[in-house]
Amino acid sequence: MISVEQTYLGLPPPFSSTVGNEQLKTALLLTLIDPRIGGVLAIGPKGTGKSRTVRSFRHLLPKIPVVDLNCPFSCPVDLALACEICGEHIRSSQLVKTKYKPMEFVFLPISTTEDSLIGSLDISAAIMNGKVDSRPGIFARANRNLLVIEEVNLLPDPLIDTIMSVIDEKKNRIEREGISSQHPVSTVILGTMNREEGDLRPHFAERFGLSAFTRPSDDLQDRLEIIRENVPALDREYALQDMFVADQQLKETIHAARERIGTIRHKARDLKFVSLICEELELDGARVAEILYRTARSMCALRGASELTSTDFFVATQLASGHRTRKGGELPAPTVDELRDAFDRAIERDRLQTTENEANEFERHLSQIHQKEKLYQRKRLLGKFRICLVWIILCYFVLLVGFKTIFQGLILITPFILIALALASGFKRSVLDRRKHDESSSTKMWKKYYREPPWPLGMDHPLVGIIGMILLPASIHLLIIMLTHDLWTPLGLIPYLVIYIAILIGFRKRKGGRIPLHEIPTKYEREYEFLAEDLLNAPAPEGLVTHVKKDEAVSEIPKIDRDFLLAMKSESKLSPEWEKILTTLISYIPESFRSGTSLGTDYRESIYRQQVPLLKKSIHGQISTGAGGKRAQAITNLSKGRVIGWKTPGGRPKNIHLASTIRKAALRQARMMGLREIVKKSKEPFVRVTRADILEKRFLWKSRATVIFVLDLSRSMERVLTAVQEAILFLHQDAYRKRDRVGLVACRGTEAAIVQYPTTNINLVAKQIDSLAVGGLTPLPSGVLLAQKTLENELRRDRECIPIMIVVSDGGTNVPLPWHFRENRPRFLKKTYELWTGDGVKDAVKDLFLVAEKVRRAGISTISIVPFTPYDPSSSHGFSTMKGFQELTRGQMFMPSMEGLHLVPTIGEAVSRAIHMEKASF
Amino acid sequence: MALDQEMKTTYPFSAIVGNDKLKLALILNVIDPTIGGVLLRGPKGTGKSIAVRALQGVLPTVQVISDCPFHCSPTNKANQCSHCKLKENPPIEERRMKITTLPLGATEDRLVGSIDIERIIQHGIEAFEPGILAEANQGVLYIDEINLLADHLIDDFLDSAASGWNYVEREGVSVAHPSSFVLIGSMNPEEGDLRPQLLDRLALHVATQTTLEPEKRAEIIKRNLEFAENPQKLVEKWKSEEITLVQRIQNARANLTSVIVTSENLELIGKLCARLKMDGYRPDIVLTKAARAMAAFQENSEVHVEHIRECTGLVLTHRTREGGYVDPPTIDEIEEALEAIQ
Repeated sequence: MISVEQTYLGLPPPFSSTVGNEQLKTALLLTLIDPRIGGVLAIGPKGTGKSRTVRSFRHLLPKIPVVDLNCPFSCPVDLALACEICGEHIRSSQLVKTKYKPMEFVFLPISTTEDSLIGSLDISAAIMNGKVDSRPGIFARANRNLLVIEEVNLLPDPLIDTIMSVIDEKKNRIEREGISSQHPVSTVILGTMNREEGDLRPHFAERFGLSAFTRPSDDLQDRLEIIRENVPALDREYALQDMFVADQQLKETIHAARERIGTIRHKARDLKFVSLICEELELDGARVAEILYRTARSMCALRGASELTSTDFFVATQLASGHRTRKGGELPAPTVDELRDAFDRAIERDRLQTTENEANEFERHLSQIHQKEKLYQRKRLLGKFRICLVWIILCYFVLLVGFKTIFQGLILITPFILIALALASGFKRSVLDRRKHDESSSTKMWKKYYREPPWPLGMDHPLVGIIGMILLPASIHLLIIMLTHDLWTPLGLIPYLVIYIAILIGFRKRKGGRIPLHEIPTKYEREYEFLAEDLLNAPAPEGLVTHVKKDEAVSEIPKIDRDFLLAMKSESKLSPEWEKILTTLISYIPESFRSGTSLGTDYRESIYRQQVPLLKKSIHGQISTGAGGKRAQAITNLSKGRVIGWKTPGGRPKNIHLASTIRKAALRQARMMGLREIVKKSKEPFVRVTRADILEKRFLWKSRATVIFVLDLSRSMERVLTAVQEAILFLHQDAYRKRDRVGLVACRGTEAAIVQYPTTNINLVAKQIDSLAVGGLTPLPSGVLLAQKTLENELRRDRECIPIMIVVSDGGTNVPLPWHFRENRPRFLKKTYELWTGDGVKDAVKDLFLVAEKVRRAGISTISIVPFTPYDPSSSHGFSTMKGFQELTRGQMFMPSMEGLHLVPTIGEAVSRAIHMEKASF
Repeated sequence: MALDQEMKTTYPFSAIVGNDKLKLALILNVIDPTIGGVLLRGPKGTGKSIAVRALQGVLPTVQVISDCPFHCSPTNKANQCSHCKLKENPPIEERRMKITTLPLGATEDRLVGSIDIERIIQHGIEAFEPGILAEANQGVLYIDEINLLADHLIDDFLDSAASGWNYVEREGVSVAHPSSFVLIGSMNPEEGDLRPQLLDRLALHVATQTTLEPEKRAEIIKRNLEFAENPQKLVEKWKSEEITLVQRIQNARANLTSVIVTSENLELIGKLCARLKMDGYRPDIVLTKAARAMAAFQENSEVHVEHIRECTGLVLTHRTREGGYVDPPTIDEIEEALEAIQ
C-alpha cells in the first residue's frame, strides 16, 4: 500500500477517486472531448473539492500532435492555427515532422502581472546579443493547453479585460517594449470560484462554456471517504492504483469520444432545437446556442451514440446555463424545474407541424448549404469527365495508329499513356496515402472531408486540362512534323514529355505540402464550423414553427432521474467505460440543479425577484452596469494596492517599477548595439539604466464604500426593520462584488451600540437585524457619533474608502449625548432628565446638529431616510429634525412619496441609488 | 546548542499562564503541520503574540535541502520545486521550523516573490527572488492583525494556503514552488471580521480572553517582570518543563501516523459535521487530523471520543454554516449534537 502511494507521490489524486461533484466531472469530460466548448467554471462554497477535482483532471489529458520545432506555442500542423515560424515550416517542407505532446495545465495565479501574461522583452537576449525578442508569456504556454485560474473571481479587472480580448480573438498580440508580434491562442479555461467572495463579471463568465456547481455531499459514506483521502495514513477503501487504472480507462473513453465526435452528423433539427431552447430560456448572447450544441454533441460522443437525444440536450443545457444571464440580466440562472418547463415548451414547438412554412428563412439557409455541397459534387463529376475524355482521345489515336507499324505506333502512344497516368496519379495518391495512415481516421470521414489540393497551372479545370495537356503539345507536334517533313519523327515526343515533367514538378511544389492524416479532425472541425455557423447565424425562427418529420419527433422528455438513467442503461448496449460514466451521472441528477449554490444566492434571488418588477428597469440597469463604479476599481495615483502596470513618470519619479525600467533600458541598449554593430565581448553584461528609462508603478486599488446604517429603534420603526433588512440584502449583489463593507449601528435606550462592525459579509448584517428589538428611547446623536467614529477608523485604515452613513429614522430623537460637549462635562442622563420631556428632546436635537457638523467635517456622505411621510412635513418635528441633519451634513434625503405604498423597494431603491450617486461623485 | 541559544532569548512556552486552549491549538499544529493553522481571536493584551513568539522555543526540527531557496523537503517528493526534484543527492540540513512574519505593509512583490533586480542589472539574468511565501515553506507564517491585511494580499496567498504551492507569474519570471506552512493569524474582532474564504483556511480557532482571576493575573505580571529583568533566569527556571514539552511533542510527531482512527470515530466526525451543517469538507478533515494529533499528544494509541470532543471547540467554532446563513456553532450546540448522535 505504501509503495503504491510513493509511486504516485507528487501527483494530484486520481480523477476517478473524486467523491461527488458529478456535475463538475461531467463538464470537464465534455470540454475535453470538444475543446471549442471553451472551458468550465466550477462554482461552489469553500471546501467542496472544486480545486481538487480540477487538479486531478490532469490525469485525463490526452496527447496532441504538435509541429516538432520546439515552438513555445505547441502549434498544430494546420496553417490557419500555427504561429509564423511553424506556418513557414509547414508551407515549405513536404512532410512536416510532428511529435505527440501531452496537454498540460497552465496556472494563472491571481498575482500575475500583465507582462507575464502577455509576454515581454527577453532582457537576457537584449543585453547579451542585442536581440529584441519576446519572452513568451502565459498565453503562449496556454495555447492548445488548459488555462487554470483558481479563485477566478478575485482576478483584477485589467487582467480580465486582457484575457477576454485574447480569448475572443484567439490571438495574442504583443505590442510593447519595441516588440511587435502575435501568436495564436486557443485554450480551454478552467476556473474555480466561491460566490461568497463576489461574482464574476457576466461578460467574463460567458467565456467559460460550461459551469458546474459543487456542493458537499449529504451522504455520510462520501464524507468519510473524503476524510480518508485527505488524512494521510488512514486506511482507504480502495487501492490508489486501481483508481489510476480507472483514470487510464477513462482517458481511453475520452479518446474514443474525441474520434467519434466527427462522425456525429449534425441535423438541422438538432440545431433548431438548440435555438428553441435558448429562446425558451431567454438566454443572453449568441454564443450559447453553439456551446449548447457542442456540449450535447460531446455528451452524445461520450455516450458512444451517434444520434443526439433530448437527454444530451438536457445535460448540455444544465451545464451551459448555470452561469449565464437571462433576459438581459434580469433573470437569474434557471432552476431545474424551469429547465424542464422550457424543454417541454421547446419540444412542443418542435413537434408542431406546419408544412406551409417550409420556405422560411431557416430552411432557405439550409438549402443554400446544400447547394454549396452540390456545386462541389458537380466539380468532382467534371473531373471524372476529364479523364474519360483523355481515354477516348487515346483510344482514337490507338485506332488511328494501329494501321501503321507497331514500333511507330508505340512512339505516338507513349505520351498519351504518360498523360493519362499523370492525371490518374492525383487520385491514386490519395488512395495510397490513405492506406498509409488509415489507423488514425476512418475511411468514411476521409472520403467525406478530404479535399483535393488545387492542381498546378490551373489544370484542375477540365477545359484547361484538355487544352494544356493535349492540344498544346499536339500542335507543337504538328509544327515539328511540318518542319521535319517526317510524320513519325521521334522529336515529336518532346512537347509531351515537357508537359508531363512540368506536371510532375508542379505536384511536388504544390502549396501546403502533404497534410498528415491525423489532422483531419481539425479539418472536419472547420468543415463543421462552416456548416454549423451558417445554421446558427441564421435568423432565429421567430414565432415560426418547424416542420418535423414524424419519425423524428422526440418522445416526451423523460424526467432525468435515477430510474430513467437506469432504464437507459439497461436498454442500450453500452461499453463498460460508458457505463462507468453513466453511474457517476446517476448519482448527481436527482438533486436539484441549483442545489450547488449557496443558500445565500437563493435568498438573494427571492428578494431580487420581488423587487425587480417594482423597481423598473432603469434603476436595475444603473446598478448592474455599475454606473457608480467609476471609482469602484480605479487605477489610482496613490501608491497603494496591486501593481498593475507602469507609466512614464510625470515629474520626479516616486515608485519606480524596476522590472519595466530595466526592460526599457535593455531595449535601448539592444538597439544601440544593433546600430553600431557592436558585439559585446564582456563576460559580465550589465544594464545601464538612465533617467529616461525610469518608469513608475501604476496601482490598482479597489476603492470600496463603507456604509454604516444608523438605525433608530423606536417603536414606530418596527415595520421598517424588515424593509431595511431587505434593503441591505438588496445591496448584496452590488456591494459584495465591489467589496463594499456594511456596518450597523443601533440606537436604543440611552446609548448606541455597534451591532455589526463594517464587514463584507452582508448576509451577516442583514441577519443581525433579526436580533434587534424595538421600543424605548432614541439616542440618535450617540448613534450618529458612533457611526462617525467607526467610519473615521475605517478611513484611517483605508484612505481610499468612501464613507457613507445611512440614517434611518423618523427624527424623533429624545436622548442627548452622554457627554456635554459645550460644557465639557458628563451628563447623567437618567438623573438629569425626565424621560421624554422637552428638555431631553431639545438637547438631543442640539447634539444631533452638533454631531452633524462633525460628520460633515470628517467628509462623510450621509443619506437620511425617513420611512414615513408626515402628514404635514413643514410642521412635523421629526421631519424637520431630519431635514436639519441633512442640510448640515449636505447629504441626501429620501422619504416615500405620498402615494408610495411599496416601502421595501423605496428604501432599497433609495439606498442603492444614493450609494451610487455618492460613489460617482466622490 | 542552537536550542539553548534560542531558549535564552524567547519567553518559555510552558511559562505562559492560562490560555490552555491557545497553547493546545499551537501544539496540535506543531505535531501535525498539515492541520493548517490557527486563528487567535481576542482583544488586545490577551497573550496572543507572546504565545506565538514563545512557540519558537518548542518548534521541532525539519529536514530541508540546504541549497534550495524554497526550503524544499528532501523526503517529500511531492513538495519539491522543479530543481530539487532533479537533484540526486541533495545536501540536507536539519533546522528548526521558523516563524516568518508577514507584516501588514508588505508589498505583493515581497509576498509572492519577484524578479531579482540585482542579478538582472549586474548580469542580465532574469532570475527569481523568493518572497515571504518561499521563506515560510516548511515553517510557520504568522500574520498579526490578519483582519487588517489588504485584500489583494489575501487574494494572493489564499490559493497557496490551500494547495501548498505558490505559482508566480510576475515580470516575466514563471516559477512554481512549494509553500506549505502553518498559518497563524491573530486578530482583534473589534476591528472587523475576516473574509469567510480566509477564515476557512485557518484550521483551528481560539478565542482568547483576559483572565479575570486575580491570582493568575498576578502570576502573569510576575513572570513578565521576571522575564524583562533577567530573561535567562526565567528560561533556566522553566528549562526542564520546556524540554519535557519538546520531548512530548517530538514523541507525538513520531507516533502520529500510527494512531488509529476507528471507522466508528470517523463516522462520528462525519455525522457531527453533517448534523451541524458545516460548510464544505474541511471541518471534517481538520477535526480528524486535530483529534489524531491530540491523541498522539496525550500518548494514546487510538483516538477516543474525548479527543474529538475536545477538538470540536477548536475546529468548529469559527466556521460558517449553511453558506454563511447560520452562525458558527457554540460549544453547547456541539455538545447537543454529539449527544444526539451518540
